[in-house]
Amino acid sequence: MNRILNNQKQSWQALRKKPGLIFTITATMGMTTGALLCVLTLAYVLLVQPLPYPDQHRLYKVNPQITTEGSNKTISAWAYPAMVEFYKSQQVLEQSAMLSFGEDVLINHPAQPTLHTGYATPEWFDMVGAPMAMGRSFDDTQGVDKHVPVAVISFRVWQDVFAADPQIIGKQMDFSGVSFKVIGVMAKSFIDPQLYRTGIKTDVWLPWDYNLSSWLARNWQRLSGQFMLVGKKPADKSDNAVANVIEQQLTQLWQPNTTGSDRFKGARFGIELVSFKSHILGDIAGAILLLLAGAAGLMLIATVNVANVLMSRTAEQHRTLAIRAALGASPGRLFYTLLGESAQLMLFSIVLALPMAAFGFSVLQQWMAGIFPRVDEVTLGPITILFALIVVVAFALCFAWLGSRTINYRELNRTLQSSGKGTGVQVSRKMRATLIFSQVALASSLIFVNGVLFSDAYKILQKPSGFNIDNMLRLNLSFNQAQWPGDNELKPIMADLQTRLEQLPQVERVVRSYSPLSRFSVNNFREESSGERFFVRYQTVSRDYFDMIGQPVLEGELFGELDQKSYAPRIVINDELAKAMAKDGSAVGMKLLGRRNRAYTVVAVVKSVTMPGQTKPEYRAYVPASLGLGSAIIKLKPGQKLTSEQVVSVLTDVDPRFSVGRLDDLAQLKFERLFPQYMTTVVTAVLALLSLFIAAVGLYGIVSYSTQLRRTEIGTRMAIGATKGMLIKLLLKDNAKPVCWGLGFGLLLLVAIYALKADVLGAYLGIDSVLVYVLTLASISVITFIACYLPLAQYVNKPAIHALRGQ
Amino acid sequence: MTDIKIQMKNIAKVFETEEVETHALKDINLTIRQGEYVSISGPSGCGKSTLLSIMGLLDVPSSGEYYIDGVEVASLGLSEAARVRNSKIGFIFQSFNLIDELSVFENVALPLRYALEPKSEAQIRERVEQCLEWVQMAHRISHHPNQLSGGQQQRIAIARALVADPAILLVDEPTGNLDSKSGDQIIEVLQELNDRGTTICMVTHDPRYAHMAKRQLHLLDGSIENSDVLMESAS
Repeated sequence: MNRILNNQKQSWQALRKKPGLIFTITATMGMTTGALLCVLTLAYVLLVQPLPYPDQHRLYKVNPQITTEGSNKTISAWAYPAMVEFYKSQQVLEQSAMLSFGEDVLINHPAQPTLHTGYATPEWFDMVGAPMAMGRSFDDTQGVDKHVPVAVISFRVWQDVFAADPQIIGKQMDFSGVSFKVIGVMAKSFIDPQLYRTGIKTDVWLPWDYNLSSWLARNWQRLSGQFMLVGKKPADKSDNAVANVIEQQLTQLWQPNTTGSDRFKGARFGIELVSFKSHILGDIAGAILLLLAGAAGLMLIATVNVANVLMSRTAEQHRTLAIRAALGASPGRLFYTLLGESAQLMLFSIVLALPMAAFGFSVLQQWMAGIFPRVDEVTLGPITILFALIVVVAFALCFAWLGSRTINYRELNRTLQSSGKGTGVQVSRKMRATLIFSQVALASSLIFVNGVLFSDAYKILQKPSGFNIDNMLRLNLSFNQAQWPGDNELKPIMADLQTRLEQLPQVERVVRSYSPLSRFSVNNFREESSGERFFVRYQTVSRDYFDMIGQPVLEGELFGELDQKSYAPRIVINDELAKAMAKDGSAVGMKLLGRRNRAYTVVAVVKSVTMPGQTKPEYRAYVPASLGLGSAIIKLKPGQKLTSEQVVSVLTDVDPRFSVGRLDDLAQLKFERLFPQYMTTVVTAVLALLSLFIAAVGLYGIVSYSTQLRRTEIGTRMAIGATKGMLIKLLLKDNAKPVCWGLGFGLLLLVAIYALKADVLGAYLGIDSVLVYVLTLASISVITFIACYLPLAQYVNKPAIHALRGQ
Repeated sequence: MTDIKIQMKNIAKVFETEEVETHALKDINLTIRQGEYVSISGPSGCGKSTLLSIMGLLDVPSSGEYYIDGVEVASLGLSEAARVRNSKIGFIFQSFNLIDELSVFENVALPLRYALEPKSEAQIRERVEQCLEWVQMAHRISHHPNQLSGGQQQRIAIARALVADPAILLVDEPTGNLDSKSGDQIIEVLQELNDRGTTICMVTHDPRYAHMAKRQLHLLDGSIENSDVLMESAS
């Protein structure tokens, strides 16, 4: 033990004099190990770790496979009554539960939040072993057809929506005109399986009877993916055996009820049992493996580079090692000495890597929950620590081994005898050139690829949209009863709401219209006279919409309120579409035929806008919105805020049957729309910088190593009159060849990749790519220069005797 | 023009570490004239190599004045010192310090390549061949150092030291890495060069070779103890 401590102490004494070395290795290994730990943990959770539910390997989703006659297409969906009947009568599964999901507004809450609702039969809670923080989950008295309005809420909803009210049990929650009594709060530890969609966690569980598809209860014809049946397979039965029994039972149920139906004539029923694990994993496994390969690749580059740096460090320690050898240190002991240093360096790296991995986990949970399932389970736990320990031990051993490989034990003794004037460390010149070559080839391709992706995403981010949404909110109303009122009833209510909202001190203006960021419908319009077809995205908007968002009218007159009242077939088109329709003249007055050949007259042309995330404008058109539209754009005065509660209070005054379905900041929506681009810019910039940094470390390691080997030569050249400039030129010239070869090979690699995937990659390459390539060359040149200069600086900035004597 | 090649006045060199201050050279006053052959000898650690390093502008003195061909060089910058080394000083090292990757020709030509006023290839070749003739190594012009014996390598090193026609040859234990026969031959070459007018200052601990010099300096604890022939005090 003392020997180990002593060894570590000596290693630290030697290392502390080299803060640059500690920084370089810690930063390189820390960052890459952090990324690797993050991806490894994610991969472990997704691919290896069992789901956190009892008998998770026996939990399955039952998917009927219906193949209709004359078509080979298989539909995987249930008919509502078929599923209910099967659920009620089935005996092959140990347990089964029906599930459905939706969204609803919690009306009796001041903020009227929209919550993700889940509708389940009581067995569901037992199947996933749902732990409760308070109260209980559903029991048989809340089963199918019992119509008992109770609710179980998630821990998050209890915390955020009800401010962790300790009296929550027994409180009422009103959704769509039904008042549900809260009977339980799920425990914080419960991990939602997210069976409906990755990233959507159920906020409140309600009994199956209240599901939003119950209007399909008697419809055997309609197949839907809105609901699902899950079950626990008996331990002693195979998947096939269970599937066969279900198949028979389902065919017996379905066939009598679809006799005479054209759709199901000769239909074949099959059953697919999909384990929870593979359902939740979906098709993400490929992406995970790619990520893993990426992180491992990065780690490999970092390892090679750090090995180079450490090799140069060993060369530097040569004399010390020689003295140790002379004093009787065996090769094993020398390895042990090197291990002391590499272990400490790896420990420092892990100290950086663990917080980096934790940061990666929070990014996954915050931003990637919609992409990767189970991210809530990806935490800094024992498995990450175990991976970290493996990495520390493996790399410490690997680096010490590589270092010891560069020592020729016999040469060491000779080194000492010739007073340090010989050379004893052997990494051949060819090997060094190969290392530089591969380093530059890899780094230049990585930097270029990331640079191109960055510039593409950055261009999209910088693209002017052509409309202004500053200080604007989008309001969508929700109606608390089953049927929306008619247009005539709605018109005065919406007009009243507009007036009252505009009376709020923080509101500048309200326009009853969809927002520019709402989803546009698409239609294949036909121009009446030429018959030419145009694929157009269109939106229903009010007359004031264009003025509100600052989209200029180029030609013609916008439709008026009268047109909105009378649903007049008027249409406003953008100049992109106008140019295509009337190549030389004006499009105003032309007619576009829409669905059911309804003819819309073009009344005005507006300037095209570019939607966030797109590179160029598309054909767009705007038709008059009904005055009873339950959506509005609210423009706030500068620096003002409008909360959901404030809108709810106005709405309650106007008509308490309405609630706030959504109230979104348009700037936030735009940000979300542009999130992939923001993400791409950040990730590619980080990756490009990381590649550059790692390449710099690697090049520095190799050049520094070879410079140390050439110390006497450099000293001699200095002695016979070489100046600093001449020596820098010499080193640059010596290293230019492998660097140029590397750049050439990198370019070849890029061309090869392009040739393979020209169709996909063509979109990313343009005149900017040349600039990106020039920047890549410049950055590689700069790091090459730095890598050549820094190791030389220790000699050329001192009198020549230092190089000659190796001081 | 004066025939004084090297003049040192009150040169001192102190090595400082955190704890110790070592006075490697103390108050050295030394003049070497054109055509002189001076040897510096003394026990190990007396400052011989330090003195030679300062003389060759490989190191800087802590104090004192130093002139080469009448030009003050004690406080030159690194690049200027390199220029002076290139044009005025020829070095011969104990371990030859030839560059393995370069041929004999390129090794010898190296100082000319570093010269401020570059020479034509033909001039370089002519001069290199001439210097190799002097050391009787012209027949090895295309070889590489590792194909030569130690004695031959040292001859190449001497040719390299001569190639830029320096004011003085500084020779550091030229026989230290050689057997006695080869060592004797090298000393003979140096003697011939001196006979032809080359100024030489040689550090050696071998009394036999020290006595070959016309003037012998003895260093002890960083000071010149005595000079067997002419010793000029700086005035």
